[in-house]
Amino acid sequence: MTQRAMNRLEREFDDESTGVPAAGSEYEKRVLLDELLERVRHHSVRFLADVSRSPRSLRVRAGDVSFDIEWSESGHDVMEAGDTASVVTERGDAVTREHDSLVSPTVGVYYEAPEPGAEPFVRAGDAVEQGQQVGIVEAMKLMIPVRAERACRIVEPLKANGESVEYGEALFTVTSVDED
Amino acid sequence: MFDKVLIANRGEIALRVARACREMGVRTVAVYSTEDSESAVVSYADEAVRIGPGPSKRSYLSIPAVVEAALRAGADAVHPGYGFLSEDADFAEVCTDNGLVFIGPPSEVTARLGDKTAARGLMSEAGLPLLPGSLDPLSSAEQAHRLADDIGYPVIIKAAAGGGGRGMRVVHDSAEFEAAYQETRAGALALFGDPQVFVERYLPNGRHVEIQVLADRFGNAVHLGERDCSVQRRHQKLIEESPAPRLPSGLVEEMGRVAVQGALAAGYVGAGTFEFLVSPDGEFSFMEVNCRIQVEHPVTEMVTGVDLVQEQLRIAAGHPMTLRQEDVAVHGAALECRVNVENPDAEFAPTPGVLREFRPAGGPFVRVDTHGYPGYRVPASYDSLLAKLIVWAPSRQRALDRMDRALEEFRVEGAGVRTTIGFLREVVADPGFRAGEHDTTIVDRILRERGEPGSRSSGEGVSGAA
Repeated sequence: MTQRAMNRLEREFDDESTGVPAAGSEYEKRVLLDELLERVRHHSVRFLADVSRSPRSLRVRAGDVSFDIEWSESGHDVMEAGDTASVVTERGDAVTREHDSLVSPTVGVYYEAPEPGAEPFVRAGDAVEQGQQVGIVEAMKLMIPVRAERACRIVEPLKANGESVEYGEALFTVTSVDED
Repeated sequence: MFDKVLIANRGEIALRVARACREMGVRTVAVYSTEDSESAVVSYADEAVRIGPGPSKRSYLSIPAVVEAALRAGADAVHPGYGFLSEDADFAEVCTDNGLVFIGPPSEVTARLGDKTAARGLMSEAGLPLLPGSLDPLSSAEQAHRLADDIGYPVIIKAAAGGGGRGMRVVHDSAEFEAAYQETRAGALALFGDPQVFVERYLPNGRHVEIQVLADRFGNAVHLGERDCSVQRRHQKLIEESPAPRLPSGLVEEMGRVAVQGALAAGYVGAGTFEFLVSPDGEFSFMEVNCRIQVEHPVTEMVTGVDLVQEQLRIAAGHPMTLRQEDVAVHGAALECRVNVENPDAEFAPTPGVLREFRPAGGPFVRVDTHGYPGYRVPASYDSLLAKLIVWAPSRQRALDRMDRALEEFRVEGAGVRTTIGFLREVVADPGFRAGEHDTTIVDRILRERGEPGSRSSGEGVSGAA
């Protein structure tokens, strides 16, 4: 392996590593790895028992070991052809009829603020104007602004920052401004 | 020949490579992320290995995950497709170090050609014509500014480590240069992890014409004609064709000759593409080398009858190329349209989702390379390319008629899903495009002509995307 590739691999390890001392022999490494895995597994199970809502994914990292679990989202985990489409459409239609939500323009990942750590675009109780940006949905590495299709007041944000959203899925419940 | 090939990619190209392998009696291993478990190649390939979660960084871009999958599956070679790790010299090297044949050029060739400044220097020495611009890395903003003033405006600033049409900026006036220079450097650092940029003259009305080459490890190299990829939006190709319409006679032969010269000078092995910019007066200049199979490779396959992916496999397996330059003949005309899940009425914003209906075009001389099927959920984590629609006909005019017919047949429906099909039909019907008189500004012109940006509608029940 050339120096260039070595440097890069070391860099990648440094990024991931949290300073567990390197073991000597292959055998010691294996034992250390097994211990780490066992500990990570133990912590994961305990952590899962403590949380009230079931998470979508969990990543636990210790030293060079990381442990990833993903659960399919309830609602479209079965992925029968056609099913999801109709579920989404029904949801979208319901939303349109009741005029009480702002919905996602596309499948993607929802963000409440222009950048990490910044103030959210809107909060509960805010009045928004038609065309005002209320969030971002990231799809295919593009940040797509979500805009209010009409003037309204935000009642409640329904999605957490970084959560996956469907096309037409409600992001906020709203009331019309003249009902205030 | 190989016994088993791991395909380190997803989508239509993974399926394309798996098909080539199957025809050659080579077993295939697909890799996939958790988001791609329903992907077409997963069920098509002989084996499939899940290599990580949805984000590419931890699956398709993770060198340890891909190499581990290849070793465990007992693969003897890795095909990287395009994008992802295909032009990552370190990946090629790690494959080699682990006893896996990397189906592509040697890592040091990819590393040298991947640095755009180094590639310009190398090709200039090999006798390829270049646009006026920098041949060495720029040391300071002042030096870059002096160079730009010498070249004359407009100039384009590009990331040395860039590619795929990203990380570049056009400067029309000397007063704007230093700000643009700093912004491009910042962008290059963010996108590619390397702030180096270079400067060259910008041709606003140029055409993008590229030459396909094949080279083996015994010093044999041929070219397989050209592809015109001038129909682009934001530097992303939408339609490609071969032959390139209305080029001065002898130009393609000359471009092909120098591309082969460049490939030999670089020690190139495998399938590669030399990109050129052709000016309105028929002068051509070298832009860059793409060290991979390209999205648009089928148009070359259709006019030459050469299966480029199978050639890649044979060359990587160490066979001397049997194809000689005099065997390569171009017949008729081929076009490729990229069917993307994007909304052309909303600045081509991506529209992933579930395909309630998916009915590709068919009929004579029509080829569709796609991973789509009815009920497929196009994930939001990857790119928007859903299908490549390729047609062949004896002449360009008849190929255009055939493409229009095929686009009309192609049906894609789904909640929130929009495609480029309608827009592609507009381009195919455009008189300037039909006459072959277009350049890289054609998409912007058509968008300007079809109405004001404010006229876009927000779909029903949708908050509306910009």
